[in-house]
Amino acid sequence: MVDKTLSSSRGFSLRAKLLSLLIGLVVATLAVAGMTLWYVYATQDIFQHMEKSDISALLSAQGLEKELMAQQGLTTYYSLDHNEQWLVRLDKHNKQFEALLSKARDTNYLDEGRTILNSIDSDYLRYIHSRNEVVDLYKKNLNKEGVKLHRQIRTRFQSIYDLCEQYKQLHQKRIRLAAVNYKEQAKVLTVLSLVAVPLSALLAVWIGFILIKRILDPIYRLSRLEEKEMPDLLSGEMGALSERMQTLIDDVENAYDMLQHSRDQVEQSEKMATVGKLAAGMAHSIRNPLTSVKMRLFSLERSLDLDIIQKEDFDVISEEIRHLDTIIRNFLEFSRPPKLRPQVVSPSELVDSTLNLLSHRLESCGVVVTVCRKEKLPIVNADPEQFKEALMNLILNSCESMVDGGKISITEDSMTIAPYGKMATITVADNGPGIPASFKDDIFKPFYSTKEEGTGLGLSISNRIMIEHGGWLHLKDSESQGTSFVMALPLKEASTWLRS
Amino acid sequence: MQRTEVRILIVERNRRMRDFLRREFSRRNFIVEDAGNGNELFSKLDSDTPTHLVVLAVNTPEGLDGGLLQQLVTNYPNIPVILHSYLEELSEDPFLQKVAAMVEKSGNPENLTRMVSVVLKRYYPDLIEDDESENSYV
Repeated sequence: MVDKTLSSSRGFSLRAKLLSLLIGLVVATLAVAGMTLWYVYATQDIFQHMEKSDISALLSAQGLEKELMAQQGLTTYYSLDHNEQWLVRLDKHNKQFEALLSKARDTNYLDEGRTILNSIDSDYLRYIHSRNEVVDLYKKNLNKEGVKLHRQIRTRFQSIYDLCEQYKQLHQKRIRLAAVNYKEQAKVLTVLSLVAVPLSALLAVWIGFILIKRILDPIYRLSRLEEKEMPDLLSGEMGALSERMQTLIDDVENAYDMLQHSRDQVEQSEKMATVGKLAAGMAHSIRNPLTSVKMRLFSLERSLDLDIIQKEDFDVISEEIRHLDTIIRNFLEFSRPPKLRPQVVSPSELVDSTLNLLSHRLESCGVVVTVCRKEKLPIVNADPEQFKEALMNLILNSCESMVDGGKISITEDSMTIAPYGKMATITVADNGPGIPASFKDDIFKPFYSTKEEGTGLGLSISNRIMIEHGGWLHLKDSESQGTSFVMALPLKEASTWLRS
Repeated sequence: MQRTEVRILIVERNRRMRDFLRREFSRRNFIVEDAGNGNELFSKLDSDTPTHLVVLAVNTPEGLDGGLLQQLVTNYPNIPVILHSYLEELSEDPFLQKVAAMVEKSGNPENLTRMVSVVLKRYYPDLIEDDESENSYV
């Protein structure tokens, strides 16, 4: 589900999505707030209008009815006892009725109401006029004529009352209409709220979901360095951030590896420098008396007349001294850090040059060398002499291991090897007897040799030369069918570890 | 001037090698002096007897880095110096440029004796007129 959601929305950036959702949320919230305000104002308006007009008119109508009804019977009471008090009360209610009628006119806003009020006014004027005539007849003790006229105006009185009732009902109807209107508006607001509130909630949940799934969760995972689980789920900004973080972590790891590598090299170099000083002193101390011995032997050889056996003994002594001298020279060479004189050169040229140098030796050993090369290797920064010595040691080792001749193949290649970058590799493989498994771990150790005449320094020197060049020498394979070594050198653009 | 008048000073810590070289040069009719260290060297150079050539092995206790060569070529610029040493052991020193010659220390002393003749001929052309006597030892 999450995948589908994410994949369907991959067309938009996270920023655009969040902005859209926030705008949507703000709009929905503002819409609800606006409608609520409108509703409050509308309701207030309805009530104000109702209070100002309809309720006031209703109260006027009720007052008119009341004042009209208060006048009822007072004329009859006067006709019975001719007490002036009844006429005073009649006049008082008459004035109150007229005042209420005037007020009703002021508050009325309906045409229909105006018509009713006009009818009430005209009917009431006629009624008052007739009633005054009745009162005058009673005052003159013309009771018979007075009663007759009195009966006639009672229907008019009822008509006025009916009109007052009609006016009251008119405003009661207006109040009911206002209530209906209020209900309608409340309904609209309710419907809008029912739509807007879930919409806001949905948008808020959506934003929350995006914040958690697309931002907080990846940040949490990034902080926990669980980067390997993320990339498939992440896209857009967080995907880019994840990639940058991944790249950064890789860079840090690579830098750490290279730093460690460099530190190991420095440590090794320091050790070798110390060993070198010690070895140089020791070797010099040995060489000096050895040279003295050689000089004396030279002198003896010059003066003695030796027989065959003595001559053989003499030669063996000379040969062993020479061997000792070679061991010391190799030891000195190994213990002294090589001073690289790097040049820009293709390893392929160095391979060819080495094979030229060794051509007679290879021929005498009966070894055939084939070079597998698709194209000339790219240039490297390397000390040609040192590199040739490293390669020469490998080839000579192969020659010496293959007693009755054999085959050596040299394969050139270039590839990217993390964290070193682009490297040139040269694989030297022979079809000799191979290196016994128990010796494999020790072949790069100095003075470790399986050969009677070997000094055990050839591979150590080669290995150190390659390390000094920022590369390495590895035993790739060694079976009964042969042995292969790989020499690796950083190509020029990656050659930042060259030491001199 | 005859060879018997040519005085060579051999500076070598190893007494046996010093003796051997002394014997070799004596056989070639040179007057040979030797020194086992810097003090002896300068003491003999400062003596009234002139020295025509110094054969210096840098394995003296002072060594090359101790300034022996520097002192020698600076204070006695007119005396040619032949460095007799293991050349690969020599570090880069500007005073190496001032020596007359360098000979690898090996089991064959003739390389050194031959170089001595060459240097003497160059510095003292009237000292040795031909190499016949030397060649007779080769």
